[in-house]
Amino acid sequence: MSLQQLLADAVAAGWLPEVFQYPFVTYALIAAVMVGPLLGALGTLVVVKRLAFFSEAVGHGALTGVAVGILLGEPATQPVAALFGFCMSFALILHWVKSRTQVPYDALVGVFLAFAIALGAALLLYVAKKVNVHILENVLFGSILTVTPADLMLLGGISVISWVLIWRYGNQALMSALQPDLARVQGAGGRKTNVTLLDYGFVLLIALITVAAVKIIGAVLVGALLLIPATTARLISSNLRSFFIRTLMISTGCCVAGVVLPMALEIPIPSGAAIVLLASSVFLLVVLFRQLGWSQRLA
Amino acid sequence: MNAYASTDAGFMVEGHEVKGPSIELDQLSLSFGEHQLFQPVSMTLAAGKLHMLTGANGAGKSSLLKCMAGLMPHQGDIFWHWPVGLDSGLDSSSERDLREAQQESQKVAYIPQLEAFDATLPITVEDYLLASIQPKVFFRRPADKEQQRLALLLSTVGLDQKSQRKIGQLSGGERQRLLFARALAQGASLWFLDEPMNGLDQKAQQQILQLILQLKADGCTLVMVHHDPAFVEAYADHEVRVVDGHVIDGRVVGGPEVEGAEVEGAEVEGAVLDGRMTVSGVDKKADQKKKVTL
Repeated sequence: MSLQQLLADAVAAGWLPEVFQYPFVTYALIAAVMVGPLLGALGTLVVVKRLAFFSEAVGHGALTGVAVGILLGEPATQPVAALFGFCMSFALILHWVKSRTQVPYDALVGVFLAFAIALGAALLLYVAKKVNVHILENVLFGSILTVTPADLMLLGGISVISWVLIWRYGNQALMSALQPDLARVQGAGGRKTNVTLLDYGFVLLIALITVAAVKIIGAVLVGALLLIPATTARLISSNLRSFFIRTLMISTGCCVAGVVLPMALEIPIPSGAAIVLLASSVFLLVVLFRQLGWSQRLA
Repeated sequence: MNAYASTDAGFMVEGHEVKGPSIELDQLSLSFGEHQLFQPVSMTLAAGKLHMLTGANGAGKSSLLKCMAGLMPHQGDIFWHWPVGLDSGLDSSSERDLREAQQESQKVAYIPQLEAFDATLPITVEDYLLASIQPKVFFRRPADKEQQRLALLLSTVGLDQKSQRKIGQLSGGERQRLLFARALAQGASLWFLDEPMNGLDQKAQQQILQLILQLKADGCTLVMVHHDPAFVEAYADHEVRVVDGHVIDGRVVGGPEVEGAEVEGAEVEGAVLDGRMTVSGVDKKADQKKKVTL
């Protein structure tokens, strides 16, 4: 019995709301449950490594990746190869230049971001001649309607790879982010540590996640979800474990709610926008609670 | 007469057991573009001693230390000559055991100048040490054995009451002691310390000094940047001065200098730090090159 059949039976028996009779809802929810924890987990490292602006830039670079993919003949709704190729090149070249110049990192990211967006904007003119530009909105801001079983397979594969890497190299990545020189000399996580390789690996992982999350959250908003849940959890956590768990909870909760709420309330907004709006609201609420002095109880 | 004698754990130098290596600088120099920070220098820093690098601000002492630790590209070579016991207490036919024991004893520590952590970062002293010294990923609960090891470690550096404190909320002295705890947990026997007492009050300085003296008594090799002549006079075994672009092999403060490369009854294993910040050494027994990235 397929998953869809199982859900249809559950709907018929009245155990699930009617909305689950549509396959795209199931697919979107599965995607949300996979992508939420993944973005949360990487988000904790993004915050410690201070790579928030970088991950935003990689997401925005996706605009150009999408345009390149369509111009090279990839399907407009799924330009995965070009998206990954561009995001990866963007991230690697940026990181390589960073290690070879004295330019402050935020300034460097700003230059690369501006270049990527300008290039994307220039290419969109040609893309508009080939496809309806509105199709791009789905790729840039996410749409639950377009998630397919093939997307879920891709997302599942990338999730497994990412979790294995986090499990194996999490401590090393964390300690290298905190004190790179110490990790170079003394190692981290009880092992010898190649800080440069870890840095490049992490950057690649962010590019990979951007591609994985493109259908549900949208390329442009992935960076936001790498940043907001971890930044929020950081405000209310007193140790690493609670920081990690709370980030995952906020991230997953926002992803699921961002898929379900617009449907339930019949608000026609992209899923990515809904997810990020929810995450931002949680952040603002936590800031407000802290201002009101309720933070001690939360932490 | 050679001052070294082999023991199970290392070597004796004048009744003092040695675990750390000697450090050989071979035509070491450092340039930034056209500017040469210091001229080529060759010297040996003896094993199991407290060496202090002194000089004016900006003279290049910290850079010299970072070169020795393999953290800075440079010209020339640096060798760490680890003492390798022939009578190691292990079955010498078991090459693998011997190698593992050697690797275990060949740990290096680096204590940088006092640096602040972000005060809001939700990383506690316990989190920091566990993520540093054991592979179990940081969001999993530590095993009881690790907890016990951690408690012992923290009490060694006097931080047992601070295990749940965020690292960004520690005082300067506590932060430095946390770094010592991290290196102690790894069993380092070669220590590079970059003005570890800078910015600390007198009590904190005393605590750090006690740790350093204990390491020296344990036979570790310590190379430390320091600027206070009275401190150097009181505690250093050997002084290396960086003056006007020259590295000068200064006076031996605490007795006659011994050459680590001439160890009788021991094999000497070399580790070369080349300009690309890698360590490679020649295992004389196997006559094969091995390369380990720092």
